[in-house]
Amino acid sequence: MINIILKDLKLMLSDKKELAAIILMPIILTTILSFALSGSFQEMGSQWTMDIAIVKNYDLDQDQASFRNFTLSMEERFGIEMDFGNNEEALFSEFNPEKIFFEDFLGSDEMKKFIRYTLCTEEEAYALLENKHVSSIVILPDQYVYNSYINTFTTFRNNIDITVVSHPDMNYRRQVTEEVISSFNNIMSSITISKNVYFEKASEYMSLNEVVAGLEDFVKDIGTEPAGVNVVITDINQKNFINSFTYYSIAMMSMFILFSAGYGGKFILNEKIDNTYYRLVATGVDRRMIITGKFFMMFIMAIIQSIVLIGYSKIAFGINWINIPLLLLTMLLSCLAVASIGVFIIALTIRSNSYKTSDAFSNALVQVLALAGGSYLPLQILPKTVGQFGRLTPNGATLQTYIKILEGYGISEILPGLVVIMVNITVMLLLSGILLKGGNSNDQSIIA
Amino acid sequence: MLEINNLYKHFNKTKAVDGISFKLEKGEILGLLGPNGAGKSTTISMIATLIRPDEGTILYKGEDIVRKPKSIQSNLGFVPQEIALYPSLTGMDNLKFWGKTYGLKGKELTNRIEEVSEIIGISDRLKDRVDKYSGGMKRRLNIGSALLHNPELIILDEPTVGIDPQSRSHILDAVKKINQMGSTIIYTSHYMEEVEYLCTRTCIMDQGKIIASGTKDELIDSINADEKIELIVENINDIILAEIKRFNFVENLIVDGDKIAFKRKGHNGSYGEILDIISVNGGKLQSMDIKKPDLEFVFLYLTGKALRD
Repeated sequence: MINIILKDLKLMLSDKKELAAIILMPIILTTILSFALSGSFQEMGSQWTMDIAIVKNYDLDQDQASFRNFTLSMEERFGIEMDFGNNEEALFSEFNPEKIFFEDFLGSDEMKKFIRYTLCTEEEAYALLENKHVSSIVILPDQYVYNSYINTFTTFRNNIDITVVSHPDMNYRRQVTEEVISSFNNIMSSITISKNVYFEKASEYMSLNEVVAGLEDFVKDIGTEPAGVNVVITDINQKNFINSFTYYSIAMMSMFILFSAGYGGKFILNEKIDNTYYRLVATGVDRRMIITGKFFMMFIMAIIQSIVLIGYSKIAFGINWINIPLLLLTMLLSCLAVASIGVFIIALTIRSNSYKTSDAFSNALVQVLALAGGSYLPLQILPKTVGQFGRLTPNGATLQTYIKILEGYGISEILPGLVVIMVNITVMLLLSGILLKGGNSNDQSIIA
Repeated sequence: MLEINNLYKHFNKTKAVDGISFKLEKGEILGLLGPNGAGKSTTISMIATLIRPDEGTILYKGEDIVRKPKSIQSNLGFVPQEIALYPSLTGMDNLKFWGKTYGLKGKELTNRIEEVSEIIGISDRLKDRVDKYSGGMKRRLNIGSALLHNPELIILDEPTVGIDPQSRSHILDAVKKINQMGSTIIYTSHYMEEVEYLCTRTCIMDQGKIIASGTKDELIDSINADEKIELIVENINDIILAEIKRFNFVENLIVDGDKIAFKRKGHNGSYGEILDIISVNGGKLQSMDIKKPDLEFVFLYLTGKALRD
């Protein structure tokens, strides 16, 4: 067995071009992608702040005047007294959607930690975004304040569409902005929903005027204290942050070790083309031993690749692999997963007896796994379903596990990822066993 | 040593081997002679345990190798028709790998590599990659890789295909030497002269069957073939022709210009008398060519087609 493994390794090492592709390509790609996509990862550490531009397309005074006119028209047309204690100005200052958004929400201590905003015109905002001085533009629409009052103090409900425009190179930031705005919307929606519930229930027991009269107190209660909804900011001070260099070092490593799996199919076919496969069978070497030899060859190749890339990431990018035992455990399992995929490709190759099938499948498989597993783009950016699938792929699980290790998590947090890798190993080996058990009528030597 | 009984192998509807039987005694070189597609390679693939026969038995020292392939594998040196080496490794790495595969190690392996590379004549090129070797050298290394464990039985499947005369001669000499060192050999070829030179016994195969077997003389005798004689004579005259026709062993006499040709029938009578008649009657002998039947002729006679068709 050792003889076969050593021979396969010698064969691999004798092919300088392949060796260069295996070792140098991931290093080159890691470097290129890390620089090219650094915008998506900038400063994701504990000191991370985000600049956004806010465009006010409404006029506060005009909106408030419009709302006053609306209340008057309601009194005239329907006899509903929209008198908020003869103190509309107090109400406007007490429940001011602009103030809630800028002071209570964006101005809160928590939000100020990671969002800085600039008020500007739409044109200025786009210029800032173009130059990446801001990561997103938030556009508060025309009649924003008026519609907020209508939604809060009447039974009507007007749509308020807050637009978020983001720079494509700053994906994480775009996501954060969207989350922030949607959480604000949730707060406002909860007020509207609460008000509607109040209207429905109160109108069962009171006259419409009494309901409207009581609305002020109700809104004060829920409006000034926004239904106990807070933006929760996870404290990441205890964890290390992942920049683009770190990410792509791991991502490329997780992807490129997959190519070692492709060598399994190639090597078994080379054995056939060179007729050494038949000679081995004639010498009494069991077919399972030949495949097991390839399994360990791929495993060792993946280990070599991993070590080289980890070394490169440390030397070139200064990545600090803090938890060596967990790193080794993950590396070991991920390389076993690669070897088991390789055995699966060998089984397919033996069944198909064709380079093309093997090549097409291994290339397609590697590309699909690489994309879905987050080797090209972070899983967070990919569509949710793809991201979920990606976490179940061996390279996706490996990548997420490495990231967690680098962030400083312990064994209990990375265990699910390791389990996914182990499941992958088991599934691949089982499928290979089934394929090989089926045999191949074209391959006479298999009978022997 | 090896006994093959009623061996059959079909590939789809093609009968590759059609009920062959033969025996091989220790120390023999058995030639399997036949054109491409005769079933030689399929037969030896079954002996080398690469293919399972559809029917029949192959007994090696009394053990059925179809059921127990291991009983022959460790004693067998199989040299496939195609080069079965790792081209990107050196000759030495190849020999080391195959030697270890046969269970050799340490000093024993080193010694055997030395001996074998001497026999096949590649000692000075062992450090080179195999893909840098000439076709002949690859063939020799291909043979050498099967000799490392000193096998009792060696199967060589067309080992001289596509190589230069020098390498061919080297290989034939090496095969002789290996046989003299005690190995029993099965040698397949469609080169009649190789089989004639090497083999103690020959099986002629065609269309999956053994159509004749025996020593060279036995095979030639088996078809009762006649010698053909061609004489080139100056001044041929009627007296010379009439005198030659009187010999009992002369048959089918043909005269074409200065050429006299006839078939020899039986073993009685000598050509010396004919030469005297020519000389006495004014003729002058320029040349004499006696064409004896060979294995190629036997093959042609038995199958109706040339060996390399």
